[in-house]
Amino acid sequence: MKKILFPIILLLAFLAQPAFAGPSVVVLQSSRLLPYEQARQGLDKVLADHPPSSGAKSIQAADTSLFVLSEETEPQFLKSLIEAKHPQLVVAIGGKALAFAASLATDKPIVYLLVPDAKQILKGRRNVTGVEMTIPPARQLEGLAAVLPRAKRIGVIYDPEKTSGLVAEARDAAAKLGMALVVEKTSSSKEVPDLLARLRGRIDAFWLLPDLTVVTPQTLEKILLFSVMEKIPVLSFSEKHLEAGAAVAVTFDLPAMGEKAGELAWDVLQGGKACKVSAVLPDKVKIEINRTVLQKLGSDYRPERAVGEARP
Amino acid sequence: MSLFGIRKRIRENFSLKVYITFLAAIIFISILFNLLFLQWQIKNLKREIIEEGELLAQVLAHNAALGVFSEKEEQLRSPMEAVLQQQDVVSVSIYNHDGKLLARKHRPGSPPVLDQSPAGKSPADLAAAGSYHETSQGFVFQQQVRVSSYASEEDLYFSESPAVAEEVVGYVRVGMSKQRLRAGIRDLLLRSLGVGFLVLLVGALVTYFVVREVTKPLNRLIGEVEKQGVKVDSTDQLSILSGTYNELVAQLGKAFDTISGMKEDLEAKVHDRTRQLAIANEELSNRQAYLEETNRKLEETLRELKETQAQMVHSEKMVALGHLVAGVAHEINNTTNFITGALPPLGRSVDELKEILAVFEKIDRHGTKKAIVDQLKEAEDLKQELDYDRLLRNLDVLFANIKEGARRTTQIVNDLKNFARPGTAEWKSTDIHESIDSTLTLLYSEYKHQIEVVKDYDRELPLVPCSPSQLNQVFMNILLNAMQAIRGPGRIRIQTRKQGKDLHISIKDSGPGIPEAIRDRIFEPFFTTKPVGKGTGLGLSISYGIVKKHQGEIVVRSEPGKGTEFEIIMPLEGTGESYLAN
Repeated sequence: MKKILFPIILLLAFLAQPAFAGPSVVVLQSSRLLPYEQARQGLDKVLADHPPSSGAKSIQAADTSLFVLSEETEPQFLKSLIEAKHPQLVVAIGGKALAFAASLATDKPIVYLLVPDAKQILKGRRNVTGVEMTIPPARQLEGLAAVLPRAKRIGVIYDPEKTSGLVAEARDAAAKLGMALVVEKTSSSKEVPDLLARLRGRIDAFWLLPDLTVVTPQTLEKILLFSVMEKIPVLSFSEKHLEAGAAVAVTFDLPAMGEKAGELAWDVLQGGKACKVSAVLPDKVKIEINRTVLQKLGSDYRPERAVGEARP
Repeated sequence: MSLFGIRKRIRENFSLKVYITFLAAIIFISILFNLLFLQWQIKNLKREIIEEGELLAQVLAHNAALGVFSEKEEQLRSPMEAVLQQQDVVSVSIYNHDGKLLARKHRPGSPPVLDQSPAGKSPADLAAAGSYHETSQGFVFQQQVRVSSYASEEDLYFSESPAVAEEVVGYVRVGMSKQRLRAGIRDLLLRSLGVGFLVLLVGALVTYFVVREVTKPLNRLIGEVEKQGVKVDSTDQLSILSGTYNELVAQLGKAFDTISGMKEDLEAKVHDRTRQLAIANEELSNRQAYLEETNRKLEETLRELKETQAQMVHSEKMVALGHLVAGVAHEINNTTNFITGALPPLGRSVDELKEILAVFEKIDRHGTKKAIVDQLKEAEDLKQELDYDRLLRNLDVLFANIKEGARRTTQIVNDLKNFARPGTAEWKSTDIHESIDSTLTLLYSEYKHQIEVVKDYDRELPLVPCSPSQLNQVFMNILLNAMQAIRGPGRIRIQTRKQGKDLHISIKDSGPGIPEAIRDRIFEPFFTTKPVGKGTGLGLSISYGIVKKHQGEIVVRSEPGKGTEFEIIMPLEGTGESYLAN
């Protein structure tokens, strides 16, 4: 059945393309998670509203096709379908989507976003650009300082093998902001409770890094418990931790990231030089707080500096 | 009462037997249900304790995960104490992945067996085999301790239920005593016994009343059976019933035998009767055929009789006609005699007149006066000689006679026409007096010499609807009978009058009357007292029929030696329905 169905779909895909349709863009999305959806909305907005430049194609909006990987049961079939569409550009939202896009038998450009470890996935593939999922440590510490101006000693536990670069950057940034990092190294999550105990009394705030060794469901629970017991506010990289008990989160503005990716995509479609650069940093970040936690911890905080608050 | 006495009484008393049987059934069912209920409740209680133990082990495994992972006893203390405070928990042990004991706590005084592994089995084996095992002193629950980690950095940011990689880092063991289970079972047992006793008590009472009510009719039956004097060699009620039943069955058998015998006899009788009926039926058929034949003959006879009657009526008519013709002929002869008797003298008178005229004719009017005077004298002489005045008177008388004869003849002819007018079935308003007079005219020759007819007519009588020709025949018959009855001088009185809505016509003669012996028979057909050939005996019979058709009747009053009166009574406003229907 598939043998018959496949050529039919190919034929239909070919015939369905209008004579003067806009550039063909395939959007691959890992799943329907809310962050992915928010980022895609920004992307769609740019692709749909971008002003025309010149030529017959320029008057048409981009012809985008969306595929959500978690909803597809036949990856091989999906690959064939996408390849048959001969897209001019593939946009990948999420790590799984990027890995899938990189496996496609096409050398067409790829624009990615919401992929923390893109370099590992791409493994040197060329003609790729994207929005990096990194908030520079300086901006994170600036956010923390804006909300908690009295926090000067910032505790950090990290795995040198995973986040040493980040910590190194953070040290410099902290120094510039008049802060000091109190760091503890670890190579196993089982050490986290002990390391937390060692930080007791030495820090004003704890900075949770996106470190897979340090952050596990158990250690997160322990860290947040430590925060409550020691009245130490936790700065997190993700707003989802605010609901669990973190005090401040400096995180991504997802629609803005989507728009940024849209700009990149449009530049690529217009034959720009976007793919010449490997990736760009997001333009905007969000500072969100959990007012209840901050109040209970007795922290001296500046809520007006935050742009959002965690849901109660 | 001795045990033997009680057994005897139970055996003899059917109600008691039923009651005891029901009571035994209730006890049995009560015990059975209680046992089942107890077993179910114990099972539930046990399941409840097991679920609780499993939950506690899961909670402990979760809370102790990081402590087990880091193998820090101080981190295990708090979760262990929390679980140990729970009811029935007597011991808590935590092991690392290799089965090394990391921490152990147990409630003082608790049986130590609950925190030891069964011989030859490690905690890992037990946790893998199942979540708990049961010992004589309690339950031991095992649970794996797992820690998880995020699969990718992306999950750190976004995943709300991360695709975590899990790893078994140790095991927890929770020992729970059976104290609560035992207490629960004891409590359940006591409650079951209480409920069982209550059910038994209520059941016994209800059964007693039910059996008493149910066996009432039976006791009444037994009483009636005993009253009937049915003798059965048995002492208990059931045997009495059984014996009675057997006897009734035997009687029923006899009854059936009798019925069978009667049935056979009846069949024979029915067969016999059927045969007799068949014979009778055959006879009846023969008789019917005979009757049909007789009937046919009777019908034939009736037809002949009717023909005879018609002939007789015809004869009667002929007789009446004979009288009529004789009378009419006589009358016409009489009236003709007026004419024929007047004709010879009239001829002679006319001849004498001719003779006188001839003398006057001879007178020569051109002759001499004397010759004329002589011839006139001769003529006068002849007139005197022939008595000219008498001659003229005779002529008047003769013409009057001729005129009377002609008038009478015309009258007779008219009456004859009235009497025998055509259309006998005609129904019309009729002047009864005219009918009677016409009949009298026709009968004139019968009565003119010696019989005086006196008419006493009611002149106010209206026209009467009837069939005049038929009524004329009635009048003719009655009047003719009256005239023939009067021998010698006599009188007939005809009276008409109106009484209420009826017309009464009375014809009374001065004859000898009708003898008493035959008075009832005068209207019978063919009954006559006249000599053979003089009457048919149908005159009055026909008259009776005609008056009946006119919805009237004829009343006869007769007194020997004084005469007979026939009174015809009929309605003045008859519709003629009866007449026309016939």
